Amino acid sequence: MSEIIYLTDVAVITCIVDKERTDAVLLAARDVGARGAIVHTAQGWGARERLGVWGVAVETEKDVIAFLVSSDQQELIFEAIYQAAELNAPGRGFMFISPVERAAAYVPEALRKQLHVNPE
Amino acid sequence: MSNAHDSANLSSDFPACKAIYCFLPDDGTDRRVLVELRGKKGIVRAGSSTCRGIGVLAEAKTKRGKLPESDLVKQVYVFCTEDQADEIFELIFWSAKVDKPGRGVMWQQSVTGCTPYGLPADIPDEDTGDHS
Repeated sequence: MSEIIYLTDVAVITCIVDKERTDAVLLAARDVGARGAIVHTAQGWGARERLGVWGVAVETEKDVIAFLVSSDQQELIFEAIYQAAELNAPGRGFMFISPVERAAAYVPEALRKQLHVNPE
Repeated sequence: MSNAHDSANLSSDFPACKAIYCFLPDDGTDRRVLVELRGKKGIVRAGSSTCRGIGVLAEAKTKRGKLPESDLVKQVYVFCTEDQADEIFELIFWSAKVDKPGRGVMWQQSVTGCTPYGLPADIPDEDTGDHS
């Protein structure tokens, strides 16, 4: 059986932003080298409620975006996302980096040959 | 005695474990993996949810400054003990064929504590309808 090629030195950047900022965040991350993203839709309340018409609390819709990035790229991508999401403004959202012990995915043939692992 | 103090004691009772997250295509693989995990390894601290994914190696031509269309993908999350992590990771990897193109990505993270989880005893079997 072939062996699994584990990717190490990777991290997950998770960013919680308003839905309107999602595309800007994805584009900014892609422009600095992020190769993929996962987007979850989240609905609910934050620390404060915003009252709409009739004084009824408005449920905010946020997107939770996760990027699996290499450790050496994480600072660059983190900063790009921070700027694109305008997280320096109040109420825009927040983000964090969490360490990943190992990851696995499809590794193209050329790279496998280069690593001398599981050549087809 | 404060509730905060009780909670602190309680959380230290639960051992550290591993969280394994996989992002798989929306073709029923998630369900198959979950059934396999329960059947072969007895893993029930697991589930799947839906999200949008923009593929790492997806061939998509887009205009400059535009994003490719995202795909509907399934996130499978599994929590297991530290000593089970290797075999669970491998089982999911081979079962979901993550080594093939377009089959998603998976990763493992450390969790400082996790409560146990058990299923109620009177749930009928999905296929036979029998009560276990």
